[in-house]
Amino acid sequence: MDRKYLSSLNVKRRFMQISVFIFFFAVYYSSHYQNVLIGTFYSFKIGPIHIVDPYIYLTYILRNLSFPSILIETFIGFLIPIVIAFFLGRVFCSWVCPYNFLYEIADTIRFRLTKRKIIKYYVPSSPRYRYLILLILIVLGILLPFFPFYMVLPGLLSTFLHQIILRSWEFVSFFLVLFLLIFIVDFFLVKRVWCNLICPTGVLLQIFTWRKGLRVVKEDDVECGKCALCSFECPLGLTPHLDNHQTLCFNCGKCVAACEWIRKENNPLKFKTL
Amino acid sequence: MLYLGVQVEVETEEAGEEVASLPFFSLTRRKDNIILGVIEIKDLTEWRSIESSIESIPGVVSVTILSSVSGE
Amino acid sequence: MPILRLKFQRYLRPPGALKEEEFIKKCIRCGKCQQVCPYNSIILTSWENPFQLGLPYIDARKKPCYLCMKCPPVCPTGALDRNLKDKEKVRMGIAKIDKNTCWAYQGSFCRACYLNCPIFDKALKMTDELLPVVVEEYCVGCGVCEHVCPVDPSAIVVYPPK
Repeated sequence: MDRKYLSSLNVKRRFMQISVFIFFFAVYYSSHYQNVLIGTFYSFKIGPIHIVDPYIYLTYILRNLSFPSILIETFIGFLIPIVIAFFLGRVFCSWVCPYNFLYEIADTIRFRLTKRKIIKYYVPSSPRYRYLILLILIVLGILLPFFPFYMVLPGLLSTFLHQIILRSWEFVSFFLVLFLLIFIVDFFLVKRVWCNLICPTGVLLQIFTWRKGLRVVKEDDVECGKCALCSFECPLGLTPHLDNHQTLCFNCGKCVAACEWIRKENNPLKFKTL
Repeated sequence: MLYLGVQVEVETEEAGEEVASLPFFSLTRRKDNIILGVIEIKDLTEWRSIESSIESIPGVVSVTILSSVSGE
Repeated sequence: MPILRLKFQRYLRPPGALKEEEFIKKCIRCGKCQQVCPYNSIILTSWENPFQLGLPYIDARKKPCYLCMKCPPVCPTGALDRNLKDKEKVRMGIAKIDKNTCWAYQGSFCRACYLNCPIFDKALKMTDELLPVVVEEYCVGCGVCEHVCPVDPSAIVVYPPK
């Protein structure tokens, strides 16, 4: 089926996702020559600032009951993804996260091969489950120092990329086994359970999202044709046409693009801030 | 395989020539009575036999290992 | 391949590392120390110990630390002490010579460890110009001696601190 309405926004998003991969390869290949850009998705140093994954930072503070020794630069680095999430929502997930990128590619391949688009993904019936799981993961991250590093998939993926370059095949094989276990469950069994229920970084970013920040809204004064094309396109299996997608939506924009294509100017779904 | 960097100290010119022409010895540099080279061996017993064969050459004072590198 | 290594073996950590328990709690496995190391000496743990996934260590026999001291400044959490700049103050471990396998003690002339030690003629001394001896007070535990030792397995091994 023809899905050419996936608009210029989607093209830009794909471009950004691919650029992230290329960017990390460039960082790794140049790591002996420069010290300005270095790190992984666990923690990335840009100049003096060390961006830190929020889940890693929180479990660090609670486990050690103290802040990292490069105090200010890591605190600012912790705030950067939080502030971005505050204003723009979970754009990290849809525009940057390599795990989501790989999942979307796998989904596209599945669609091309089976000629069927999956629309039923696992969506937890209440946000409470996600907060409960986050709480459990934080407690486990405090008690077991190794635990957080298994739970941040972008971090694992970026470390894996570097080990391929270094030809550390042991780490590569370990990672592949781990990743396949998670991916097989996530892609074939309980679809999108990682992004929608488990991923602690995703849930934390969503907790810090402002209700009036960038989000997809269904406007009441424009008539909805109830075609459900938006929900058909949603990569997370949400239902924007029923307007209950807010706590999980990661602002990829596919639903808005679908609605604009089919309804032209009278589309009820739009991106909105404030 | 192990590559040993060795230093052979000799007294005479001929001893030096003979050391340099040994099949397992790759000459790196030679100055006055010091010869530096690389020897490829597998283990201690091989080293023992090589060491004694070098030392049995008349004019050789000593054989010293300077460094080693694994050849994997 | 060190897959057969014992699970709870002590590992040699990058220079400036805190005590092992503190190090495990503070390291956030960001991999910056590995990326900045010009010799690619740092390895990240995987099969050796899944409970330490991603923790950096050094396999001295494979590639030792050459004490360039580029890794401590990039560690964001202080798992590697940022203020350590002097290579002689590094305490990664202590080298120990096995006199039964060291070729110098068996009668050969070997000075490989002595000549390559970065703390030259202080941490490793040749007694009577023949027998290498580790001076524990000065040994930093970098592992260069273990790397160049012609004996296999190495006659001089660096042991991480207790």
